[in-house]
Amino acid sequence: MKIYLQFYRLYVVWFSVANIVGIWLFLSLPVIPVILILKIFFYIGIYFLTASSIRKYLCYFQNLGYSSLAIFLRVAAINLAAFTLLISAIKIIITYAAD
Amino acid sequence: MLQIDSVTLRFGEREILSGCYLSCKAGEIVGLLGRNGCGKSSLLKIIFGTLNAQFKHLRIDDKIIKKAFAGKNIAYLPQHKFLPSFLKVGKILDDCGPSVVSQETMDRLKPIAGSRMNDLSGGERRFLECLWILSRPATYLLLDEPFSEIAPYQIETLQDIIREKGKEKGIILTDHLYRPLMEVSDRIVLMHNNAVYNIRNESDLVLYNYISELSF
Repeated sequence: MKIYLQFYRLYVVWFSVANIVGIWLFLSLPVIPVILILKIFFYIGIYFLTASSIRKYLCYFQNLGYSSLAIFLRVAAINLAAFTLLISAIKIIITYAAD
Repeated sequence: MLQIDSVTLRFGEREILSGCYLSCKAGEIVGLLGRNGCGKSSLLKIIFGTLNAQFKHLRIDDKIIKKAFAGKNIAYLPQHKFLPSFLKVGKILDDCGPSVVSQETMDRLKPIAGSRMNDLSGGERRFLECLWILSRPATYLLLDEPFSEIAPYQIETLQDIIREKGKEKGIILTDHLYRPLMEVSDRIVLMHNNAVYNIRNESDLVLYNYISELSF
């Protein structure tokens, strides 16, 4: 988990942007599967945008036994899962509050 | 034993490595010399798995390896800065442990222990990166220019650690500071014209035009 947190900390700005875009998508398109698909595309965009920066620290992660892409995918998956949980919780609260 | 042979590497039309062979056994320190652009760093990257060669045959204890870093058998010190900038020096020193960071080194580094990697000078950062790599549990260590950028006392400290670690690990190191390299190496090889030559002393370096003449 420590390694994921280190990677997340390096690219926290990009993952924060991904989450803000996710929330914006949630507000404008309240269909979770569509949001998830769009967010995965957004992650792909982030990877290509930050690829040169990821390469800079590649050796650190490789010396710990991981490839940068593997780390990125895992961190993206954790972020996606946490974000999905968050928007699902908000959706449930909104639904119950409306009732 | 780590063995790499038949390495072919081309960048466009330019052939960097062709049929190159290098070996290193655990408990041996191999010094790798060569002029700029001869492919020393590329060879280390190919061994580690960061750079894809057109062809290579890498074996560790007769087992064919594709991505060496994935097996945690090899640690690699690249030429560029690679430790994340937000890491604190104290954390790096804790990671290294007493086998690499002696009390004397710890005392010297105490004033910067609370700093982040980003706040250090190039030499301080390089020294810590070397210490971190030397503390890795891997059987083989690849060090690309460990003595560059750092102060003489730090070079001596690194030489002592390399000698100590070299008793049980296989170490391949390359540097243009050939004297510190030759002092710690059990075996020295020179990459020249796509071939690898064994070097016995500085006179051989003159013979292969690596240095122009002996200077004392």
